[in-house]
Amino acid sequence: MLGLGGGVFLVPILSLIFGVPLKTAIAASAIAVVANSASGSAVYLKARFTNIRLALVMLVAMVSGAIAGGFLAVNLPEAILKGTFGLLLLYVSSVMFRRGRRAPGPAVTIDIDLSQDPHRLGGRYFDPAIDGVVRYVPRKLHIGLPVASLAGIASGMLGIGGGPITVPLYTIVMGLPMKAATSTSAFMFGLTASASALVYYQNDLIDPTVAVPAVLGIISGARVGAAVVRRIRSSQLNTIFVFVLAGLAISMLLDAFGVY
Amino acid sequence: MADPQIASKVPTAEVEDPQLEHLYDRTAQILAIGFWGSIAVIVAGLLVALVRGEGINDTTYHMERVLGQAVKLDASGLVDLGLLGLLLTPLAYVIAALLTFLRQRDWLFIAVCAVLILLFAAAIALALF
Repeated sequence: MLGLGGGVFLVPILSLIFGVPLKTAIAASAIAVVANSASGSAVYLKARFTNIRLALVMLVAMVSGAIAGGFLAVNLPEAILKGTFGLLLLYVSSVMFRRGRRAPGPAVTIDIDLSQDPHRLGGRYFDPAIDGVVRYVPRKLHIGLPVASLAGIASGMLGIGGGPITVPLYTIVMGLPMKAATSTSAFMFGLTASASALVYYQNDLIDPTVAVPAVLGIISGARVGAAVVRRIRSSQLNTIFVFVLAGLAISMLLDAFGVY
Repeated sequence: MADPQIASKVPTAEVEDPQLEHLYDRTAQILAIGFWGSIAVIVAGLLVALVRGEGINDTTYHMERVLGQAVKLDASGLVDLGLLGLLLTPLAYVIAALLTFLRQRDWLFIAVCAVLILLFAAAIALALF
C-alpha cells in the first residue's frame, strides 16, 4: 500500500507491543518482507512496471550491504539497533510528511535517447493512468550503487525492505517514474531480505513461533491494505501513517535510552 | 505473456526482446510458485502440530537437518522447510535470469547474476558451517 515493505511497522509492533526481543523481531520481519515481496511482485512483473535488469545490477550492491547489515544486527547491542531504528522511523515519517504536502506532478511520457543506455537498463511499460507508454533511462548509477549498498546495510541491520531509501533514490536521483520505482524496489526487497535472513538463521535468531505469524500477518495486512486504499483518500492515509510512524519512532528512541 | 490489454497498447517495434519478455513471465511464475508452495508447507506443519497436539519449536533446526525432519513429518521440520523455501525463492529467479542471459550471451548480466549467486552461496555456506 505504501511501498515500504512492511518492516518499518512490523519490527516496532513486535518489539514494543508484543515484547519480542528486538533481534528476534528483526529476523521475523526479514522473512515477512521476503514473503511480502514474493507475493506482491508477480502483479507488477506482469504489468512490466518492474525493471529486472536495473534491479539485478542494484541488487549486487544491496545484497552485499544486507549481508554486512545482518552481521551488524547479530553483533551490535540492542540499544544501538533500537536507536538506529528510531532515527530511521523519524526519517521515513518526514519523507511521508513531505510526500503528502507535495502536489502530484503531471503524468508524462518520458522521451529517451537510447544511445544513453548502452547496458539497456532503461525500462518501458504501458501506464493505464495516462493511456500511453512510459519510457525511461536511469541516471547517475555511480550514485545509485553506493546508496543501494547503504540501503542494503539498513535492510540487513533492521529487518526492513529498504524502500524508504530506494524509492526516493530511484525517483529523485535516478529519474525513474514512481510506478517503476516502487515496483522495482518491492521486487528487490525479497532477495535483499533473504540474504540477511540467512545470516540470522545461522545465528539462531529465527523463532518460527514469531516468524510464521509475522509472515501470515504481513500478507493479510497487504491484502487488507489494498482494499482499504480504495476507500480512503491517499492524503488522509498518509497523514495517519506519518503520526503512527512518528509515535513509533519516539517510543523506539525512548526504549533505546531505557526511558520507555 | 503480458496482459493482452497492456501488450496491445505497446507499439510492435518496442517489443524487441522476446527472451527478456519471457524472463518477466518466468520470474512472476517462480515467485508465485515459491511463495504459495512455501506457505502450503508451513500450513502443513501447523496442521501436523495441531493434529498431534504439540507446539512448534521456538528455534529452527540446523539447515542440513531441516529436510530430513520434514520428510519425517515433524511439525517444526515442515515449518522450517517452508520458511527456508521462502528465503530461497528469490535465488531461483536469479538462476532463471542467469540462464536467460547465457542464451543471449549477455556477458555483463551473466557476471551480475553470477556475483549475486556467489553472494548467496557465501551466506548459505556461513549458515551451514
